[in-house]
Amino acid sequence: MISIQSLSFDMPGSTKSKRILNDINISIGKGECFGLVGESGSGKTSILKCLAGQFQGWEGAIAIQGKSLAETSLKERSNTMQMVFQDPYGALHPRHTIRKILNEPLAIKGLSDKSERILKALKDVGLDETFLPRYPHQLSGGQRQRVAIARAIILDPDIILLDEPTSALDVSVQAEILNLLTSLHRRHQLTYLMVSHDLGVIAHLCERVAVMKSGEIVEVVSRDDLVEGNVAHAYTKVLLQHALSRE
Amino acid sequence: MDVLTVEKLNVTFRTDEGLKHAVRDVSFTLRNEKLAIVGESGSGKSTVGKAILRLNPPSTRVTAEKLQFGKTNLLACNEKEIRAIRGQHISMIMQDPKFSLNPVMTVGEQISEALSVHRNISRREAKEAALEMLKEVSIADPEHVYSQYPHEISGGMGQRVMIAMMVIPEPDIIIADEPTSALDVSVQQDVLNILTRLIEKKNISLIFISHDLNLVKKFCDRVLVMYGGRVVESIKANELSNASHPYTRGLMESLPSLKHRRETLPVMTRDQNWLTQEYTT
Repeated sequence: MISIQSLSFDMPGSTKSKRILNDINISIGKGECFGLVGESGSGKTSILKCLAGQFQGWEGAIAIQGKSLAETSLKERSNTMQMVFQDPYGALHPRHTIRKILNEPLAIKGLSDKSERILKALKDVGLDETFLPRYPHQLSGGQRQRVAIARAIILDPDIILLDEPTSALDVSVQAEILNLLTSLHRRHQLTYLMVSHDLGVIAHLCERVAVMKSGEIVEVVSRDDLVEGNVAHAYTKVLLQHALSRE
Repeated sequence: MDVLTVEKLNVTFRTDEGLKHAVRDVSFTLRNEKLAIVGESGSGKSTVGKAILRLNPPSTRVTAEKLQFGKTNLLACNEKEIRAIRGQHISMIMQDPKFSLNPVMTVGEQISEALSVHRNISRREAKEAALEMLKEVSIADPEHVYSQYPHEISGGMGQRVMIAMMVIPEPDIIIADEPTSALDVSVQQDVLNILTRLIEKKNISLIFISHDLNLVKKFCDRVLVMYGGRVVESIKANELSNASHPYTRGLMESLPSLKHRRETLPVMTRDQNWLTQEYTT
């Protein structure tokens, strides 16, 4: 579904550019949940940004469903791939109602039966039509993240890029959103690429995890290997030990 | 010995939508220990910490039957007396060092300044003591860090600098409000270890405000669980896994676990009674 080969990216700076991704190779199958874990600055979000088109000028090859990403227009890309961001407070336009927020992607695509699609997306994320006239500030953090997820699934994409979707939420709300992501994954046959700094959250949702450090993937491990402690790299061991010590 | 006694603390904010009763009848006694206050956003945990030092905005109404710090009645203190207590006797570490350090002053100057405010010493002595303090918080190259600005150091380093500044006047109590939640996991532990070492060495009591149950379970001695402005449970940290209040249990269970993965995580149903019912052990 997603194939990333020798992806590198240099962030242009005022004097010299800085390499923030170095020789990334990932292959993600259809319907898989794949995780990226690492510390701040390790480059995990940068991979999502290259995929989503927020970063231009990367080197290497990315193919989505066999089609080269470099040759895909942004509009085509948004049909197959959508993103959910970390901060549900910043991701929704503060002066747009929920109706307008969900209508926007449909309007851009020029799709018909907008109202039905909006209602269906809202229902999919566990909200109802009473939310339509409301503004983001009238919603709780968890409800906002549900709206952001509804916006991502409304165009019926195959792939969802999840950038720390629960780290700004309380643990009880995190559980609700994780459950929602699990059930959407199953119902819509989605492929997830999720970024998190929390190994517990990643391992809950993802079958395989790439561990990142300083712009490189140090190791790709399966969930079973993680649980059994079958990890090779010293940094993975640090993360794992930390996660286990707190259970 | 009781370091701080809080009885029936109530805090009310004036907002556009009217009065908001953020803290309701909170009572606890702090001894020489690491006491955690945990809760979700909006539970009032930070407001409790700030109310002790009168750091809430001026429009806030704070009432209590008792707010006793050693021999001092904090309720009777005027602004000048409270200022003498802040930093010197009770100090506070905030969540993000980026916003609590002065961006246009080098790290070393800030520590020196903290020293000279609290002690009557020369500039050279202040610098030497600041370097000593940086060494105490495990900074490898104190001379170098001394002359750096806050934006040039990492988050973990910044938080160590904050700890150094707060520990300098050797206060009786440190209130730490989410001191590690802005940090990466691999540095969290270092910062906590440094904090523990210093407060044990200098006999400081700690109020540790956090949303992270797993963290306080390991790190603290006792835990107050707050919900809707009230303390719903007070429990020894190592007994958190056997908590009796449904809210505390719900929080513990909603965390994803590596060892015992569940396909669906339990979701809490909140009971209206938690907001009013008196909790008994």
